[in-house]
Amino acid sequence: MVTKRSSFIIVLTLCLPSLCAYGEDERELAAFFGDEEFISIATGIAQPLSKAPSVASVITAKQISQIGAIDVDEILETVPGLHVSRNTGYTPIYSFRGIHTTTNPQVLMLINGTPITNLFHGDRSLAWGGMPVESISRIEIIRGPGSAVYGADAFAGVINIITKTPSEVSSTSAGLRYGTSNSKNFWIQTGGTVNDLGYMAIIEGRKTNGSSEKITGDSQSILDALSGTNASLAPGSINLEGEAIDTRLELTYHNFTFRAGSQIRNKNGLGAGIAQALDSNGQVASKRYNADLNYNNSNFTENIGIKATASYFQTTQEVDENFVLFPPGSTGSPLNPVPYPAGIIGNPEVYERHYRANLNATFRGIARHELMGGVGYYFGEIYKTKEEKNFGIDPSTGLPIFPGSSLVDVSDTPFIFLDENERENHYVFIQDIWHLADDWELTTGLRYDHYTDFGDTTNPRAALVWSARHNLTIKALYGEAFRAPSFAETGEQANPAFLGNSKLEPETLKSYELAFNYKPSYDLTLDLNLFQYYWKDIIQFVPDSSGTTRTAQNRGEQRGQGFELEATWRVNDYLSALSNYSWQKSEDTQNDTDAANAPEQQLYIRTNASLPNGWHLTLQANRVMDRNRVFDDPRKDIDDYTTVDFTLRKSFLRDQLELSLISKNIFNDDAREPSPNGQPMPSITNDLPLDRRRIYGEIRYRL
Amino acid sequence: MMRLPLHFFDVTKFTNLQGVRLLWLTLFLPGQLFLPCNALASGLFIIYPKVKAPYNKIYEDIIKGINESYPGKTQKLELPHNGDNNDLIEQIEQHQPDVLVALGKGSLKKAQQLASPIPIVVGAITKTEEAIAGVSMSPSAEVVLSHLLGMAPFVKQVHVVSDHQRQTQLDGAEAFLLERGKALKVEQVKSVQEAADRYLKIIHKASTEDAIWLMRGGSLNDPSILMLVLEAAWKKKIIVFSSNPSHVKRGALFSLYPDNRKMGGTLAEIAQQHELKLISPSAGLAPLKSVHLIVNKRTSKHLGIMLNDISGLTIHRLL
Repeated sequence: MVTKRSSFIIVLTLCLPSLCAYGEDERELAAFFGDEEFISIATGIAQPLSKAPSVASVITAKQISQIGAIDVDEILETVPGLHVSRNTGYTPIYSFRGIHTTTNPQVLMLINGTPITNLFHGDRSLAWGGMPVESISRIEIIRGPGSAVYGADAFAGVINIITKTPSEVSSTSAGLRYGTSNSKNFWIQTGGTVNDLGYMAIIEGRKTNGSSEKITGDSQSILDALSGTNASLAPGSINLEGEAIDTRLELTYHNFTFRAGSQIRNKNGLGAGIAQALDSNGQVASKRYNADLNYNNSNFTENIGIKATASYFQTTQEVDENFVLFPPGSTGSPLNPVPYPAGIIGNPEVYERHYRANLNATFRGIARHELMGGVGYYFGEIYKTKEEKNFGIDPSTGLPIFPGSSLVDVSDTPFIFLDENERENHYVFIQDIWHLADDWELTTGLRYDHYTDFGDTTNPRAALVWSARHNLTIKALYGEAFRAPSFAETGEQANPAFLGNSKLEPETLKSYELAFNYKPSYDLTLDLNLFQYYWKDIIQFVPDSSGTTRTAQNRGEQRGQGFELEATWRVNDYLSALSNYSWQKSEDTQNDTDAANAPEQQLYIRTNASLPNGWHLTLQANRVMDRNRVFDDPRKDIDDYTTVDFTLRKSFLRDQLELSLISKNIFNDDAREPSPNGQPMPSITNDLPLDRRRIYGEIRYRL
Repeated sequence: MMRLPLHFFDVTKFTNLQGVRLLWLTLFLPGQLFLPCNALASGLFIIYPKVKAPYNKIYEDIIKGINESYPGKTQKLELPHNGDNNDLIEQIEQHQPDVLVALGKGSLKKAQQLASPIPIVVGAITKTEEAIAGVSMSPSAEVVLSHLLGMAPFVKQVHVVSDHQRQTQLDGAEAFLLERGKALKVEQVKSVQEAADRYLKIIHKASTEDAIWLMRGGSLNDPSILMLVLEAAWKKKIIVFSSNPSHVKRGALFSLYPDNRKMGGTLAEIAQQHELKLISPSAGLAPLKSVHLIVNKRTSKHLGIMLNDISGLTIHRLL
């Protein structure tokens, strides 16, 4: 009979390190090279991390596996000073150091160095639909401005997703995941080299019914109260169903790399609705395609390195099912007595293309200097906009579209939400790393950008790095950044509430940082980053004198300061821990109040146990604290929340087969992100509920 | 060049007499023509262990290097971790290789267990119990020191604290340095504590013309020693370089590790020498000559060594 105690011993024995599981050859190689991580670097599987003088975090594929991430946002949430919030469509708001806006154009997101932000709102599209993580080799996140290197929109932060190379995917593997909300994921990847041609291909798919968390009241609830109707779907579930297919291909041949990819999103739910009124019907789609060709030769001549890149990115926002802005039975306005039997429907579609070319050169011919310079060209266009709607003016008659009418196509008329538009940008930049003296290095950079639509901008940066001790590095950084107005901000029209302004200037940011990196032992690393920023000319939709519309203006100002403290501890060969704490205090100087929505404090802890017998257990906790309301929002501050997740993995057959159990928010905390304020009151009063407990089972197999 | 299946006879009886061997081959050649094609002797047979990523990349690169350099046919077999030798025996009988290339210690053991007359060449290994022709993963002292002097020609004395007998390597190092008007100072120790004391004494007396070579050894595997040495050396701007590549990320100036593709090329050359009977089967491991250089950028700047100014050395990885 197996007693409880003997069961415990059996479990314990299974978990104990089994030395014979390690091969003799692996042990010898590990001893020779020092450790496994170094073997990855030595064999070219992993690239050593660039030591750019900025406050950056790098999250590797191994850490992504430990986190148990299903979507890229779960990785980004672990970064100090960055919080992933949600807007009412439940697309992500990457909130860096207190810089938090609804459309979030202040963050530059790149895949392999190519921006994937759009011209329409400067975000990742209403149909972003998340991003799966199997293709990701690492993510580099820079907090603070990076316009001197990256140009426009590298403002509050830069997120660069680097996908796996052929040498990282040296075999064929596949996996399946199933879990809460009928979520299904699959992936197949292959890679290798034939003669000198390296190849990597991956396909990832996802289908989910999405969260079924409920909204108790929405904008239609307020309309119902004012109009005497009973149309609201609240209380009701948010709509986060969706399907996604991601593909990536990478070919390498000597100094050349070619990449192509696609992100197809279909039948994506609209969260809490486009107009903050629940919409169980609307579905948005997006087709995103990218391709880039790179030539990289760090030894083009003895002293010159060259890097040339040409890239293409195409993105769309398309309508799969009618966007029901207000549900059937709504009048749309207390002033309108006639209800719309099918609801108020507006179907905006946007189609964009982006072309980029860039040439960089590094010059090492001057003693104690490393010079880098480059030129580049960008052309982007919204080449097509389409819209059907059942409200507003019918362009064929010039008369209002009456409730009950069928959808009217207003494309290519003055009554469409946005005209087609284009933007060109030429730029030149230079950077010098000057080795002033032993242990002292000064990096200075300057980038000049010319835009065809809003003129010129020049952005400097400077970084002084001091290797103070063998285990202490101190950096002082200064940077400026600009954020180009989005086409919605410059050109939105025929909208009952929001209007664009073609005279907008870019938003600007100045930032000062002081960063300390201290390694008291080889197993413990401590980082402390202090920052202060000044953000001005913030583009806001300001009420017009007419009282019914708002027009984009360079109006807002915000100042902020804070710090991030990080610790990484390798306890022993099997156990590691990581923690970070972030604090920021930002002030809306225009209204003389604390800046809203971004957490003022965040705490993250992760521990990971990896045993040589194939068991891997990760526990992580994330606490989000102190989120203020905007100055005129009557609600009390939003509640703090804590999510705790675990990932349990067991590998078999010398890592060929892996089974995993992943659980998110295991204590079922009622985590919420702030819903926007509104007049006379917020439309969704009780904020935006996040997922409760989720559980996934996963299997992956490598040939 | 062709041979009958293994069990027919012992080829080693005919070794070292190339003429006899050729005559012997001539006599048996007609008979070979009637054997099935797949039983004809051919080129190299490479065996390597089944290991997980990223270790497998090392063997893949070596095999790539062998294939690029070896003009004849090569076959390879990945040996499972706990498998028996039946598959190996069967495949060798089928392919009848001229030379067996064993990568890693486990593969070498299995190759030796066969007790086959086919000569063995070994790679991806640091040492062998008995003398077998092959290439070591450890670079020769001359290669290590030439990299040191390439980066820091001003160094006049190299210090080594050793708890192991490494006389061959140290003799080679001493001769190399003497030729260039430099000196090697070796101190033997018996414990970690003694090693720590010696290092501190060396660093206390040292000037920028001194360098410390962290060789492999029991006491040097202790992280506290490494930390002690690197901290004290940083303060006095003394060069510390290491035979352990992972020490570079901890602050050692540089280290060397195998260029696996070129190591494969060297293994292919040794295998060809075997085929031509130009090398003794017990020639022993040749020290590694084809290396990659890894450098710590932060340390090099601290020491005032401008990497742009280093000529004649290619930095493979910069940490």
